[in-house]
Amino acid sequence: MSTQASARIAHAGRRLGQRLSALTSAGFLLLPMGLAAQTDYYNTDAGRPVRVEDAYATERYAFELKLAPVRLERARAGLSHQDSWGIEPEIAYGLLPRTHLELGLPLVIIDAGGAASETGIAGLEISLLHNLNVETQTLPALGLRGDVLLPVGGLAPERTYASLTALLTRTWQFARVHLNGRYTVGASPSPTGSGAGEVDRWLAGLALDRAFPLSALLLITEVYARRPIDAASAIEWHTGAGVRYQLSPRLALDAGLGRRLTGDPSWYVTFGTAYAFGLRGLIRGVSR
Amino acid sequence: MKTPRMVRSLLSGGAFAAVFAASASPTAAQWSGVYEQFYLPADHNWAFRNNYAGADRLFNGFDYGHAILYETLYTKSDAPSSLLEDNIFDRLTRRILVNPPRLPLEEGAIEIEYGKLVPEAKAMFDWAHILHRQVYDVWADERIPLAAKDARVEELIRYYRSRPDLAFSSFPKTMELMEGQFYSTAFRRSYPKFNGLIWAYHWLQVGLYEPLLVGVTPSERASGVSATVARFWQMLENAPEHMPRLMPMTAAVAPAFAARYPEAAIIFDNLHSMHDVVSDILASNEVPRDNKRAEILRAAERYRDDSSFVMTEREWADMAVAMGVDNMGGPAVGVLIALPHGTAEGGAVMAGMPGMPGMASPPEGTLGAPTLSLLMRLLEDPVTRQRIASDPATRSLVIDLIEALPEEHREHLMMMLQAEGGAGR
Repeated sequence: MSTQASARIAHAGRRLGQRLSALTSAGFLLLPMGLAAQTDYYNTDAGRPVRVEDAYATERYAFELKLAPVRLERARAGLSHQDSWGIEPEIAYGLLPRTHLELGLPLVIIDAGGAASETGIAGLEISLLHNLNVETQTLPALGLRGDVLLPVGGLAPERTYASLTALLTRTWQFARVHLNGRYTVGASPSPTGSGAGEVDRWLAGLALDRAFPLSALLLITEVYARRPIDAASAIEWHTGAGVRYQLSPRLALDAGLGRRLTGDPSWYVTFGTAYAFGLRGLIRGVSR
Repeated sequence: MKTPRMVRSLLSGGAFAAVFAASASPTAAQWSGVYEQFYLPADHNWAFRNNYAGADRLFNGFDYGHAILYETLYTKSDAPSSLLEDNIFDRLTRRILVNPPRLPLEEGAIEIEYGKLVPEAKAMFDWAHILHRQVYDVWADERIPLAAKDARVEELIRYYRSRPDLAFSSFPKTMELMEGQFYSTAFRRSYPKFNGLIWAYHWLQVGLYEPLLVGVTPSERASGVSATVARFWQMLENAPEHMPRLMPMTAAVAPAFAARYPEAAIIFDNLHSMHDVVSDILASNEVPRDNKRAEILRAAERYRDDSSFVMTEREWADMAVAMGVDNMGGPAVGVLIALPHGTAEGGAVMAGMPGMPGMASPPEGTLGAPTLSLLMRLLEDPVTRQRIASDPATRSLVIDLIEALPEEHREHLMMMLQAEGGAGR
């Protein structure tokens, strides 16, 4: 899942609960009913519910559809608080062995308070994740992910940003550990530029998770540091925790919460669903 | 706000190095690029889960049993045998199987060290289990006409075989591969009760196809599935007394299924055979710990190839019958009054056939395996079955032959004949 876009959802406003509800409902209505597929609570995705993810790609020929990932954030703005929310539909496809392609189109609603509000698309994010190897006795699972954030939509950054993320996963009896490190290329935004505030210049993070396989449940916690793309910004530290739960063979749920540890304190809650399916026509040698 | 010290240290570059260092071992780096693939999308997906939820959940429990077995054998090799034979066995049979998981398991979260040891073998098992489940889906989906089911199963097998790096061979493998290696039978000798449980799992996993195939109406299929599951539970009573004494083979336990889909049946027998081989390698003191991966991969390659340790399909079918279905837990349908009484010792070795040491000869005066095999082949073919049933003289002869067979086979064969309205003379 695209992480930078997920973080950008921090631009939003109050008094928009009804819109959120409507959009979420619309997202569920768009689910391709009747398609049968499997999704997996055990394979974590960035932002669902924490930003640090594992080193594995969506399995080959599988689609994973995330239509209603919602994030609500409260940040301190001077003496008052600012609530913000957004929804970010995404779809990933297991294009090649150990490789998936993902598209994300975050919808952001910004309400600066009072009557002023803005709604728009905050960029088109294209990702390619390749898992280099599965975990063995001597090596952790390793992966690489490339992201491109395109300036598509009214609330998108003013220029294209490309980033590369290194992913690592190691499993022990007591827990599984994930390490992520990302670097983004691209100039700092201009002083009047918008939409780039949540793009990272770099990010380094660690997550721990513990699975309960008989219950199809995963508990996960993380801590990460990031420097925003704006060179003048200070390094930020964040922490978060959440749960992933397999509701049925086709549907997984996630929920999480987190907070920023440095600078102006803020917190967020997130909830999402992931629905997986396959298309026969895309599988080589199989008739429709 | 200052950055918490612990957080900072966790995220320092040292953390990356520490994880790598803790992961590494003095041996050469073990690189594996094995990958998962989505199951074949179709409208029958999950039909077995929807229509036979209890049996489907049992299969989830079986997956847990296999996973915890491998993990325990590998990580607790010095533990007393009572850990598996008593503690884990009791947990499985009294808790897990009584209240099995509602979803297919993520076995990687259970067999953590085993999964790292041989991810390639784990992926082979996973891929074959997907085939297993999808064939069940086809036969559990009442919307699919009988005539269309064969094409669906054929397509599933084709899709399965599209991954030659994971697919078990469609050629039957001899007992020599399972029982004639230097590590063979180590598991069943050390853990006879747990071995019986695994064989009972395999009995149900192949046996449950049979009531779905031989049942004529939906209700007959449903009651047949219930009866077969009930027989599985009977096997667990007074363990290991009623558990299979030999590895259940599909051609014996589920003859209608094996005759209709010999390729699938062979694949499943090879799958179950390799399950036993992996258990043997992990349990055997003859295989040094740092050699277990190599031995498992060697066995996996042999189970995938079409050239080593192969026998003909006829030999495979005859061997299954000759071993004695009662030694494998009994037939999966047409049962279920009394539990079968096997003639072999529990865990007897079948390698070295045709002598088959450890086996009792069939009683004199009864017709043997060739006749049974012949009748099975005749009655499993729908056209032949219909011709037999519609011709009074032939029907009478066939009934005579059935009645001369050992008792445990008669009911099943009569049921097959009855399906065409030909049970009466």
